Amino acid sequence: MKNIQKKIVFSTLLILLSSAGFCQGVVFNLELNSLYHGYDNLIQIGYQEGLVDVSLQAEGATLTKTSKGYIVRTLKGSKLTEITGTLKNGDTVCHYYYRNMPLPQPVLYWGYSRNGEMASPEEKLLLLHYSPGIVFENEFNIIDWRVTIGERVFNGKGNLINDEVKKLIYVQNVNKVKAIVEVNYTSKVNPTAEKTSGIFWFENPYYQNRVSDAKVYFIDKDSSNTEIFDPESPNSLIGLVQHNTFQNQWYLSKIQSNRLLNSGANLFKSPSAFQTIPFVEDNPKSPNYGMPKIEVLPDGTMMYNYPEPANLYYDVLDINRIVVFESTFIDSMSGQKTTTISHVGLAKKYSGSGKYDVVCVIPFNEISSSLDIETIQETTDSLILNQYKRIPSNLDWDQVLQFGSKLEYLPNMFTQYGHVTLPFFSSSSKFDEYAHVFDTVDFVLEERSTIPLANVYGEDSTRLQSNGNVEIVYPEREKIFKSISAPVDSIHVYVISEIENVFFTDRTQPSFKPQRVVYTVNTKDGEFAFCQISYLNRQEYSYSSLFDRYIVPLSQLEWKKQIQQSVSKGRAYDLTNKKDIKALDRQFNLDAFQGLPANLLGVCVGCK
Amino acid sequence: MNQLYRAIIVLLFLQPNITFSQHVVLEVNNVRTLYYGYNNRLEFGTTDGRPFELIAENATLELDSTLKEKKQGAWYVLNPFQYQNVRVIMVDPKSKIAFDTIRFKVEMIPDPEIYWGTLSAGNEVRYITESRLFARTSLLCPLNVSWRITSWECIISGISDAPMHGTGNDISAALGNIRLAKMDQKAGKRTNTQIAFICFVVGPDGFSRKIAAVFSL
Repeated sequence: MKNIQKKIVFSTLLILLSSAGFCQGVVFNLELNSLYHGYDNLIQIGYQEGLVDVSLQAEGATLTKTSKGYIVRTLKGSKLTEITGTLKNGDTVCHYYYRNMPLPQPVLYWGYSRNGEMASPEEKLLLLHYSPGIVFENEFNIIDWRVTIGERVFNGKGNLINDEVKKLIYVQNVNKVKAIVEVNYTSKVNPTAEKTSGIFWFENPYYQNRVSDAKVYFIDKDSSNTEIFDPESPNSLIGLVQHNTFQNQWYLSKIQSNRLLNSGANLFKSPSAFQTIPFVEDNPKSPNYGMPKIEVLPDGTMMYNYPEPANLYYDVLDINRIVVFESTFIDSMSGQKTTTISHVGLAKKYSGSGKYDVVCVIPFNEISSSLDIETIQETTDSLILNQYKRIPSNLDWDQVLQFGSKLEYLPNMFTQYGHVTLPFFSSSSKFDEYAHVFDTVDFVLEERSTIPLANVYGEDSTRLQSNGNVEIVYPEREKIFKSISAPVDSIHVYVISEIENVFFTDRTQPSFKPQRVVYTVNTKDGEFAFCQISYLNRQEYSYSSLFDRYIVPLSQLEWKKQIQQSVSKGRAYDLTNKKDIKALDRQFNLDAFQGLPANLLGVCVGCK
Repeated sequence: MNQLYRAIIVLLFLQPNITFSQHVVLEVNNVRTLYYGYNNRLEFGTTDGRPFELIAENATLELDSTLKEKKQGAWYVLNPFQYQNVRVIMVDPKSKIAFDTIRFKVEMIPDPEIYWGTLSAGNEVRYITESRLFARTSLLCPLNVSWRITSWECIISGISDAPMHGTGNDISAALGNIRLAKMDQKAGKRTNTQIAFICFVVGPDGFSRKIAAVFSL
């Protein structure tokens, strides 16, 4: 009896003490119930109606009691954790399901710009954040970074980019500079170093295309230059521009599109004109600071307020004149003087107008880069279009592919039947051992079933990838064998590749990921590289994409040659010459040089 | 001595609300995020079992009767009406003294992604069979959100026709031109064809969003 009495005294004191002490609120959100693999998930117990002695049991995870709460470690491979709380008398007091997820992968930011976006070279801070929709709290610490711009690489410690990178961006001879950034980082959650990377684009404010002191040439459409003008050919200049309008946003200037629309021209609204990032409330005093601005439409629907889209139009159809801008610049790195084609303008006559309208002006290097091809140009004093570099002999190539009787290089056919996938290689072997694959094995055309597998709930079956993305699972691929034959011996492909793991549902298999690929062509003067691709940050593993998308079709070489010939023969309009400017004015509506200042040709917009 | 026990027993009964029809709340990883325009369903508890009343600031807080039928305990629906300073104050029901404040971060419901049938944006369309578009929240986002495509516009690169329009998520009106483009591509007349859909999508917050999706042929 005395013992029982003592117990009552003790437990009563406990209850009194605990209620007088520190008390915290506990919240559970029905949907945000994720547990993460490889992480000490913390579960805190909260009581709704008085303190009770609960014991927790978990399925799909292990539980460890600590002073803060329970530490939950999910079991490897489990997708769901079930936690049940029971009292001593066997009553269940709670029953929860949690989704087991891999730790989310952060996205790299250069200042305010997300991976893949335009960034500012003046920004110096590299940051890592989770993408929207992920509510996991974590902090990242960038240990070091590595920036690759063209052939140059810079390294540094910490998350601050040094000024050398900015300088390098500013001295590039293009107005759109691409930088590949790789960082090693640790996080609050995972103290071991991890690696991630991103691509950023920079507008180079110091880039001068110097059209104002350039020479201008015209090429008119006729029967001899179908290689350039034929829209039916996917690799003609016009075909290339037409099919890449979305990606490259070659839209008309507002002045020009307004004028053309008023005169009844048929222009096309650019899909890239639809801004999908809404305006954000920017008044710090507003309670909704940071939230997207909402507008109420006449019919009562509430809509995010997007930047005005309607003024962006494009038109790249029925082009019958090309304007070529030749320009001379001095390379600030080497001091060499180079004359090259800086821009190409596409012009057409609209009905009712006696003058040509230039509907888009494209930096010449962008025509190639739109297909992810970096043409290598040497700097000389003469005009160059296709000045190919000799293949660097000092590099240690992993493999040289030669097109032969089985592997054919056809300008159009290869893109058409480009869904070629090589079998995956095993990690122990070098690439050389698979050279014979090209000669002996027919190519496999992989067809993907469009109906995904269903899971037990009848929903689409999904699979988590190593990078945290969720992928829908499709049935086994149907394999159709397809052989390609006919010889073209002159083209070689030099490859440096690295071995990387590819994750399948049931296994992880190492495969070759191309790092650097150089295409060369055998000419009378020797072997020349005509296309170089660096694969540092590409996700594609197979060589299919390589053959499919990144090869320079021969017809492109052909139209580049034709432009070169036309320029060498054609009449030059010198933009420093007043007579020539007047002649241009007679032929063109000169508000039209899109992307370039309207007064560039010495013509005032709106005044005659 | 007996008097002391009596006093303690009396004290025990004075402790309010100690009843033993229990429910226990398990908070996971300190997640304190709410979504704007969304029925955030939450349950609350205290670490020491103290009874509490809830006062919401800049949000509406209601008991969720539908969920309570299915699940144990008291569930609440919290709807923030402001983007910042949303908090729930826990108050002692008797003395009305606040003993804890739970601060919430408010976010907008993440924009959905457009799927052409089961194909997500950015992918290559191999077979043109599916005639419906769907808007889905990213599979990583756990919210149970249903989106409704109210209208769409379709543009095919390099095709001279004016953009095709439609209401709802049925894109049959555009399929004819897309098939023609696919045939042209098979015949080698075009390459890199892109198809852009601009969709107006309404979410549970009532806000209409403009979502673009580009597919390649």
